[in-house]
Amino acid sequence: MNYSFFLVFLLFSSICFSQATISGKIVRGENTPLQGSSITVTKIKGNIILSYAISDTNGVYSLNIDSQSDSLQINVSYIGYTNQSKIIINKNQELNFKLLESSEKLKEVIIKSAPITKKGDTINYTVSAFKDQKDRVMADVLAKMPGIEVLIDGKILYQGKPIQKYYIEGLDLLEGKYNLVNNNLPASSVSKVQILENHQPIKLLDSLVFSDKASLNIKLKKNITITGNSKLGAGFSPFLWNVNITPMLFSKKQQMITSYQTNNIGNDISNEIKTLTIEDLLDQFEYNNEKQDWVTIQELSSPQFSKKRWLDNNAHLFTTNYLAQLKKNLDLKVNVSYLNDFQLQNGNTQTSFITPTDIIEISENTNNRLFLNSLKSKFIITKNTNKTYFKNSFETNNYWDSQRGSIILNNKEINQKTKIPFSSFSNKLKLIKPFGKKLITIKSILTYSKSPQNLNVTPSQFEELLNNGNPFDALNQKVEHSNFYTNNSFSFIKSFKNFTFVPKIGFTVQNQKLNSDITIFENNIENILSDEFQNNLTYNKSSFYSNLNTQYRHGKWKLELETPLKIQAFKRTDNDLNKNQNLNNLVFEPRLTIKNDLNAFWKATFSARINNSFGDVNQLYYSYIINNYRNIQKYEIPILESLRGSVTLGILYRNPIKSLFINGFYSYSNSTQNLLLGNNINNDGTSSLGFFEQDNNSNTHTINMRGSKYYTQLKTTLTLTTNVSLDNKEQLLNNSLTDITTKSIQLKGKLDTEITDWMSLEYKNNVLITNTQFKNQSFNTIVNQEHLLNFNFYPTSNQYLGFNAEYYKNNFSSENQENYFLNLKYRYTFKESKIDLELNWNNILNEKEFTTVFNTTFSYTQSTYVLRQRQLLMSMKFNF
Amino acid sequence: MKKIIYTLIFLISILKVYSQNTTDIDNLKYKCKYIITYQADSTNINSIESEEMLLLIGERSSKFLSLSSFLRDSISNNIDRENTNSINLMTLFQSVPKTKFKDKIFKNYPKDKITITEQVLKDYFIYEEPLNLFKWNIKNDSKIISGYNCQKATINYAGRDYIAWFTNEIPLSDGPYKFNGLPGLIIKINDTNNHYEYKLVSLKEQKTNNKIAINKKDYIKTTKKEFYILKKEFYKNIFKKLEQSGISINFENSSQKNDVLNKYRKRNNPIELENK
Repeated sequence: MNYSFFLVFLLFSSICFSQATISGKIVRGENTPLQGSSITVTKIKGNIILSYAISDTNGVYSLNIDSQSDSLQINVSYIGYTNQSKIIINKNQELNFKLLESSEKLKEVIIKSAPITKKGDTINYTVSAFKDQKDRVMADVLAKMPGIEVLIDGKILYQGKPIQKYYIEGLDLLEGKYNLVNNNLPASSVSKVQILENHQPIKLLDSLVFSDKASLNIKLKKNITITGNSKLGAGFSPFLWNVNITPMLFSKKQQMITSYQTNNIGNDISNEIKTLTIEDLLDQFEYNNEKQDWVTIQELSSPQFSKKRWLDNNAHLFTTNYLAQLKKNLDLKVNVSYLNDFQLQNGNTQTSFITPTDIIEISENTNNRLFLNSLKSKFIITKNTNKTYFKNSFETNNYWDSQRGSIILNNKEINQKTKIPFSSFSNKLKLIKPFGKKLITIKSILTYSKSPQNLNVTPSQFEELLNNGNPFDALNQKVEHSNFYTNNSFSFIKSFKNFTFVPKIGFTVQNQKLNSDITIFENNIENILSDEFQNNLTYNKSSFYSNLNTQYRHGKWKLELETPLKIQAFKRTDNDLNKNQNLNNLVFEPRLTIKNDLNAFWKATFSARINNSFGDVNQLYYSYIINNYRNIQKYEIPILESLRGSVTLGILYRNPIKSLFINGFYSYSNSTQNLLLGNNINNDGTSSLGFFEQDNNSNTHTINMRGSKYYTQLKTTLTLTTNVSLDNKEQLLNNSLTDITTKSIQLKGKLDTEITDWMSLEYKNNVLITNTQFKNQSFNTIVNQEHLLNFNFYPTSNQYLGFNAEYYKNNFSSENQENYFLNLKYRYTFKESKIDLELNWNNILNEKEFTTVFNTTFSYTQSTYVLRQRQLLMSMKFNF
Repeated sequence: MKKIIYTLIFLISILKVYSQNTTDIDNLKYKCKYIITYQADSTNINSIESEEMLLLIGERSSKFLSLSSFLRDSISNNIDRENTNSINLMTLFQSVPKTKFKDKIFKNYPKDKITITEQVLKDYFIYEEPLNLFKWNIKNDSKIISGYNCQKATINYAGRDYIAWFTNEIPLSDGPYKFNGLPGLIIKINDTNNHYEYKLVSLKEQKTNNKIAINKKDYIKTTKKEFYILKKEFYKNIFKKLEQSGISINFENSSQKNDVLNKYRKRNNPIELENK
């Protein structure tokens, strides 16, 4: 370094930009330092700032001046104080200022602001922005919109929570069964998807009850009236088909979607008409009219994995949905669907019934044919205005199911035939009206159902019981069940400080009738068995209830307490047998939930509840009913009463910085029953019921833990889950009482990694270990294992290739302990013609059977299910 | 397993706005409104969006946040639970648009520091930076913007070159975002690529006794560097993050998943490109 040059440079610069430093202190009033005042240096009477400083906490400032001028102006200003200016000489100096308060106002300004694109709680997604060449239907496009997710069963989530309503042009045509539209409406017909955040579907509640749920609205292109989608697929072997034709019509005041679908490739098309919104799903539970099968053929337990691998079907679905807007805010809806399916089940089952004294083994070779036929229709009138909410739904469900089964039981062939029809009518009314400042809600549900069912078995069974031990040709079990149910309630909402109260009163009435008889056929002579083989039962249940729901929210605490009180009356009568029982009681079923956020990382929850349950008609008939060819039951027992108490404790830890999430739940439940039910197993494998009228106790401990960690560098998520349960109860088997303990441990792991943008890998496993113990005796531990590996490749933007490998293993069965599956999927999209070609090659290794093992407290069952063969399917998808 | 998911979803849903409390940190003196115009995707010139932002200036400190955040905060902090007639507040709440800017910037709080709080999904993060971040270069250019005599200043900050126009007529050493340290309020500031621009649209003195407040939350204390890594990872791998917190998302085919991810990855143009 040349020092002399450096020195010259220093000298030169000090001449040219004679740099001066000015420092000092700014104060106000009684010498209080003033922080944040600006000190600027300008030319005399100039505007341009040459140098500046901002005074610090102590009011001190310091600034350098790069200027050749001899004299300059220093200005000190602070908002609310009079500006001070001073002419100074351009040299190092110390200058202090004392500012005086001023009443002069700041120069205010308002400029007309530019419009904001997004208004209110509606978010508009323009479909064309998201849709690319290969997207066909709404579901494809929706899944791409930020914040929206589509689950494997078609359920749509927005910000992780299920959507509340699925509207088309503001109208709720499908009542939660939106898969039909989502999988078939061509994306090219849609202009916009709107997400209505904080959407309250009931207009009357809009300004009163805050909703944090979102709904979705589909806006169609202006000229769209008729649209739709179709898919044609064929393959082998045997000949396979998969057809879907779905035309749709939309106009201002009317909407209609019709669909015909058929396949024999194992696609469960009943999914298309499955209810997906939570609100509509809850509605279904309230009806209390589930189809009940009193008799069945001996079915095979189905494997616990994708139906596409084993469902041997031949299904046809026809559904039509129509909506008409009668007046503004008054809608009429009609949904009708007809499903016809023919399914085959083949396989065999080995069952060992374990009694404390003996082991009874039976072996069955099953060949079943199931015929499913159902017609469901729904008529809905909705009035939704700012002053009233009224909704009336009338529903009819009809099933004409029948089954045929042939079983080779220890070398003897047994044929079974059932007819299990069911029909029901329901009406539900909901009315919300304002009453002063409160809103009152009136709800009424009415249902009636009827099912005349019968089971035919050849040759004879239960000879000892039915025919003094003599064999006969055939038997026929007839069951006729009817059910009337109504539930009516009245409630309102009241808030006070941090409390919200919802008082509710109501009543329910249920009336059930059960008639049954058994006929045996011997040398073409029918013999209707009497007395203990005939039921003529009436079961009435009525209750009057009141409930107060109290919610308390304060800071990090949230408490909810329910205090339902019910007066119940049960009346059970069989006039033919002259038997009856009455039961009246008052039950109190409180429930308490407490949640607390300890801090940003830890949260805790606690809940406790007590509830009662009482035996239903299927456990109350006095005479025998044959449920299937090896099960005959009668319940000459008092009404089962059980009282259950449970507590749950949960701790959640989440550290987003470390990407670590752990949660753990412990729950304990204890229940007391007045009866002990059990099975008597006969040597031919048939069973009947036994009971002890004795108070008994069962309890369960469960622990669930889940941990998940994301590794940034490896782009990998590791998730581990453990479920441990310990179950203890008394069990009655062949008239002796035993203490049974069941322990089970489930371990699940999942590894998910994105190797590159065009390749990803996923590995999952599931290990279940179960062990059952009688008092002194322990049984073999069952270990079931599942491993799953997925490889996905995206070689170009219009191609997709996926490999999927599965491995299943159990330690119990003597043969066929292991199963391997390999599947391949390839899709090619023709960008111009918008046609998708897809090739599915399933079960490449051609695994023939799958064996499942499971145990109950008194039996081990090993069941082998015949799977779908290796198959190749080619399909084509296009829009109308 | 399902129970856990539902419990989690339930927990998220009850953690919403209702129970908010605040700590007052200063008396509100001036309210400035800025319009931010920004390009969300640096590769797509059509991804330009805009939003209204507020700079609340107090006696000692200031707070910068989006207008939507401000409205949401003030509504939820003012709900009168005793009075069931809070209908108007509720309707108002529902009419507030969502914001893309969830960060709140507190200058000179605590003294000589900038405090930044930001919500990601359901977590609230907090970190500090020094107040004197900016070493401005004052230029001789001047022009009148929004009726104020403004002078030009330039700076390179966090990977972008900025041009700021400030006025000595408003002797407040403050501005939008974290920008401060000039001898007057910043009226307009933009980066040289025009990816981010803030422009003052109104300034009003506050005569009522309003406060500048910070929400009381369970803040997770972090550093700026850590926070930016976390946020970047979050958008890059949103599904893994959601899945970890117990929200499971299954896709019929994983090409759909890839498309969603790409959509999120297009949010690729944060205001701060480099972080120390």
